[in-house]
Amino acid sequence: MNSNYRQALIKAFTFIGGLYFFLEFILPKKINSIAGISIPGGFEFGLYHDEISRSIQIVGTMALGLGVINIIQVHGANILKSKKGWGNSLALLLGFFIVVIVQSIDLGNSEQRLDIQQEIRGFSSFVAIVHEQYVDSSTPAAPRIAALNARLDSLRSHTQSGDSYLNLSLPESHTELTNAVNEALDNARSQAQELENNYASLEPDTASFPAPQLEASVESSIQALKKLAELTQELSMLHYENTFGRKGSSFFFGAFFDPLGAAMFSLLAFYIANAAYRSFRVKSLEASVMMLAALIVMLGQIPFGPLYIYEDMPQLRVWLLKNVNAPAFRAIYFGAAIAGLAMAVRMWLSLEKSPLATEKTEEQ
Amino acid sequence: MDSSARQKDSLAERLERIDRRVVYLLIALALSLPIIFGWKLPPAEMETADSFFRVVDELQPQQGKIVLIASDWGPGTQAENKPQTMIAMEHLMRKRIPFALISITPYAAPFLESMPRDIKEKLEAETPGETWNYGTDWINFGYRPGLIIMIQGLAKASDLHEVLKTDVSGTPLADLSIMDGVHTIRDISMLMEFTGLVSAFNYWVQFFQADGYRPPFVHGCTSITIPEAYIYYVSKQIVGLYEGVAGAAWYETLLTKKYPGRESGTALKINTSLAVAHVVIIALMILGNIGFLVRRGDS
Amino acid sequence: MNSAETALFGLPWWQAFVGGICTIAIFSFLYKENPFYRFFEHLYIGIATGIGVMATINTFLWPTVLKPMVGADRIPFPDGTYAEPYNEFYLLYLIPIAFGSLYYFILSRKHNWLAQLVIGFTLGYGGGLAFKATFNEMLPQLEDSFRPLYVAQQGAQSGIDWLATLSNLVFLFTLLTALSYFFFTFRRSEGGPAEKSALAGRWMMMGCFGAFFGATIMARMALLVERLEFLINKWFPLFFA
Repeated sequence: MNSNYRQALIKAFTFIGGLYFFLEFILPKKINSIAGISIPGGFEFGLYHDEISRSIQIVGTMALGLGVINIIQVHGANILKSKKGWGNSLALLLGFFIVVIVQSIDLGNSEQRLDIQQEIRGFSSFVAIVHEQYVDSSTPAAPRIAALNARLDSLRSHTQSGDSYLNLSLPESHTELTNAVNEALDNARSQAQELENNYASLEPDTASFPAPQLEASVESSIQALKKLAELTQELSMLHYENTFGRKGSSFFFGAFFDPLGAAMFSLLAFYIANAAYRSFRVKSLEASVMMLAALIVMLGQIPFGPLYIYEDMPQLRVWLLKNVNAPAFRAIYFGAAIAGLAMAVRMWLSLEKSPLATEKTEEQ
Repeated sequence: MDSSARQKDSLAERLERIDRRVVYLLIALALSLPIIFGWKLPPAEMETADSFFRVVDELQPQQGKIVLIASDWGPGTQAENKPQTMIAMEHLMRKRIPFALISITPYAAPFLESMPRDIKEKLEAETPGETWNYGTDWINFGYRPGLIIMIQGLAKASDLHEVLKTDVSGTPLADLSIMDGVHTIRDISMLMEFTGLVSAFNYWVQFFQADGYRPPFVHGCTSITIPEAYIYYVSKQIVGLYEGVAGAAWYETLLTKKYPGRESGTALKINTSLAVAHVVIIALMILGNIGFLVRRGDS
Repeated sequence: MNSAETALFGLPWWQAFVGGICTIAIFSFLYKENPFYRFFEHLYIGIATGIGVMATINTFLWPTVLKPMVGADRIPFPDGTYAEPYNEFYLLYLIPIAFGSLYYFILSRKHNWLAQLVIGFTLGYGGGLAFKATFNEMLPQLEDSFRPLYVAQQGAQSGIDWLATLSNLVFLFTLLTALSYFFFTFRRSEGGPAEKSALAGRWMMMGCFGAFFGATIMARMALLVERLEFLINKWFPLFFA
């Protein structure tokens, strides 16, 4: 494609990218007329805001792999070529891949748990829908409820097996929960069996069964299934907490990421102390003003104690922050904000070269 | 130069050039001693934390209203942001005001799960018979990617149930009673935001508002951003502020005054260590300047 | 120590032990640059990247985009039906997915310009959002900057509230002089009012920077005290238990 067309296309995409949010900001929420022509019912500009937002989020998320490719390229090459510090590259990639593997397993564990939770949560809606369709269009209900009963029976076997999110072999501290789940399963099963029998006795002759009795049976089944869903949710969460993925993720965060991150930032404390001691000199009047302000702020924020020199120091500190620091910083902020907006407009209208543009594209 | 002048000069020089490792050691000792000996000093009064306390204390539990806590921090700034978030959460839980946790940074996710559980344990131990439960007293939306787009999406949502769909563990919001009646930004009675990132705070200031409604906004910043946070405090864009861990420590004092039986948390301990370290740094600064002035006087 | 402090993610002792080693490894840098520090530093970067990538996949890409697209978010019923029918509109997500995938052309020399489309789009929406961001944030700031230069006493007392009036005067003086410092549109005459104002602004900003410095000290110390607290109360006791 001709490079001029390419440039025009890039500029058009840049402009379109900003257009929606610009219009969304300046236009009223509902437009009732355009140039004197009224729009019946009005036009709501942000009607699809959620969908547009999500789409933009998806576009951004797709860049995720670029970072991964980059670190693999750079550090992979270091290892393969045994460059100086290749061990560090190995540590980086090791850390990255172990976390990715462990968290992928966690995602799998979490999905299994969610599947079973969702399915059991859906039972009560299932009964309601079956009944609704039975009443509205005489869709046979008994075989469908029989399918529910078969599923409940298979779930009962899960509670016995040791590898499921529903198994009841929990430590004694959870006896109350295991008993409750057992009871809820039995109750839901017997209610659903009764419901199946009721439907079976009715079909195909719907008129012979007293409707209120059927309604009551449906309602009690729904309640029993809801109770079962609530308890199995708790049970499956308990099992999920003990899965390899979950424990592994928690381990990496707690044992490595949390202490390393905190320690890395805490190093700065030593450097700031050293810098304060070495470079904070009253070389000029300006430096003295700065030091005075720093001292007031420091003394005003520390606890009362034997070293406290002036009772109203916290008030003096707040006064300084509110009436000297805030306006001075606000002046800086105004300048930066206006410059930022000007820069953003230039970017939007493609008046500014993209910082990410390659030389080759710029030449075009 | 005679010997006394040389001696004076070398003393001044020595005052100016204490080895950096000695400075490091002094700082480590100043911070460690209060922890080892368990010293706790009453914190300095903080007007901004007073305002924070007042607005939270005036808040009443209401059906269909929740407080949104944006906990946008990770291990790097947990020293300040964690005590802040926990103390605010504790106040809400004591007042039985339901709240939702969310974060725009992925590194906060494990904290969002552990913090309310820890407070629940603490409160239940303190008041036997009372319970605090997930789904009724708090909810965790977890980490939500998308920064500005996500925040704006929340603010403009016609139904939060549709936008957020589930909580962090995949439970549909409709199944959690805390979300009954909570559908739009107008159902969020207060926004609390804790972060060490100025940009994260700015995003909430800029985008968490819709149709002329902006929930009362309180903020917990790390000490380094206190001067910047003040411009929003004086303009009333935020109605309460925790100034680093010192703000949280003063809040602890206020909370203990209101609930005398409560066990104090980490903020007071950290704050006491900070005081000793401040004194050491001020002393070092004075020493360095004495050396400098003596040397300059001589030359 | 209360339970809230000991139960850091429910860490058993060996996890706390590893955490202590990580902390010491990072602190070893204070003595001098060493391979032990470098190794853990790189490990940290790797883990941080992994957590960041997986968080986006686990919390957004899979549950919000891919799962509904493949229909895996529907609740199955025991009779083989589903709670709701498959929604084909989710397939529209393929458009942003395809568009976002253009990012990867940045790796191609020949088709690099395709990546510019999506980069341009991203910069564009940043520009579009900037209007809202700037005005929502700045207008209350502007509004607050209009301060009365005479503040009357509140309540029963009458007359001037000296402290509030003085505070407002200092506030406005600082704001205007600091703004004038950044005014570069014309050349300031030497010794003229513009230069004097800029000089005053510079002085007031020194006060602001001093406050920044004081606050920074506290911030940095707070980060360190958390680590020391961990080492003293959770790590060292492991060796004496």
